Amino acid sequence: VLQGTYSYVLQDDAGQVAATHSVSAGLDYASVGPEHAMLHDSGRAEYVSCSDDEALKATVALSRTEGIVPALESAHAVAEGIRLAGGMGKEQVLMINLSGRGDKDMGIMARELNLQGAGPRVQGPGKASL
Amino acid sequence: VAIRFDRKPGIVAYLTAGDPDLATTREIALAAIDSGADVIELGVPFSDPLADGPVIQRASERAVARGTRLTDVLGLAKQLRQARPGCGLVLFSYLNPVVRMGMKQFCAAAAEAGADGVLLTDMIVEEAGEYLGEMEGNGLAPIFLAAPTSPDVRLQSIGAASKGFVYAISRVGITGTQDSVAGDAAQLVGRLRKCTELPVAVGFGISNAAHVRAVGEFADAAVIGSALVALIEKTGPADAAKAVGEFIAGLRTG
Repeated sequence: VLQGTYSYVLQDDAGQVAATHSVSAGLDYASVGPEHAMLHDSGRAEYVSCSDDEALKATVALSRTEGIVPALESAHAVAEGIRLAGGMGKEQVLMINLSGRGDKDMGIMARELNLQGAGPRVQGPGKASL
Repeated sequence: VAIRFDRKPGIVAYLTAGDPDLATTREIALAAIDSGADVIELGVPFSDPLADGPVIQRASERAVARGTRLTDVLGLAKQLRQARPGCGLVLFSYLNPVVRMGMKQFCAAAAEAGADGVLLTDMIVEEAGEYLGEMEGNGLAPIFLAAPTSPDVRLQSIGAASKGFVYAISRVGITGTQDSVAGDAAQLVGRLRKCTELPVAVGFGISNAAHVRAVGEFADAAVIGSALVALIEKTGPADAAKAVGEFIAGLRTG
């Protein structure tokens, strides 16, 4: 139970909640929504993990091939999509849900990808200069 | 249940177990009891101490960093019970460490340690079925928080589910000291009186004798938390028990 929600929580065996890190602010949290816990328990969804680096690479890949800049949260799904597509046939269809846009993450992307014109590390969105 | 407030107002003393260390918490708790505290709320430190202000947050961080675990606090409770058989003893915890241990195991361990009651800050009456069953089965008093924002229908559920006493939160916000007791508190206690015969203790921001006297006008007991934790932080391990004892002795004389 973290912040009033009963769900899966990253914690130690004494029930102390673990510190977290993610390049994506929306995923930088020690728990998940209870809907996900239910989908996991019922077997209706399968959950996988993805590193910061894989998500950033997927961001670049989708931006360059499709001209769509995904939010860093969604980029985790793109990374898994790229991985799965490697084992699929050309006639098969794979759908990725892009849940958000990457313009909100430009400052983080510029810093993490060392893009030209990246500003210094800033707190909060909208302050980085590109 | 040994939770009684024979002197008015009663004093409930909250301590973060393991700050600065478990042995010192034991000495502080004994000094508090011997100086007039009716009930000790022995706090399990937690990584995410919701509703707590900076003073108790810091204490929780220090105690967690020292590796203080729920099982350690249960062990300390047992020591306190053996040393002071007549004192009121409440285990105070956030829900997650208890869920991690298992509700059934925790309630049995709390009873075995000799606790009179349990206060789980983020346990709400609407979700308390299993908890209340285990508390009942182990002869323990479940203590719930009532807030100025709780509507009467919730106060009725809280009153019906509670034993020992009801903890009335004096104001909207987090724990920590304030200049005077908010008018919200008297109004909340008045509403609670219509829902329960149990004693009502008022906490959040009660930090000196004047506050205790003010609370005594309308409630049965005052909960002193952040003021004690801040005193312990300031005093240091060697003198903390003596300082807390003197502070508690002064709360009814001011």
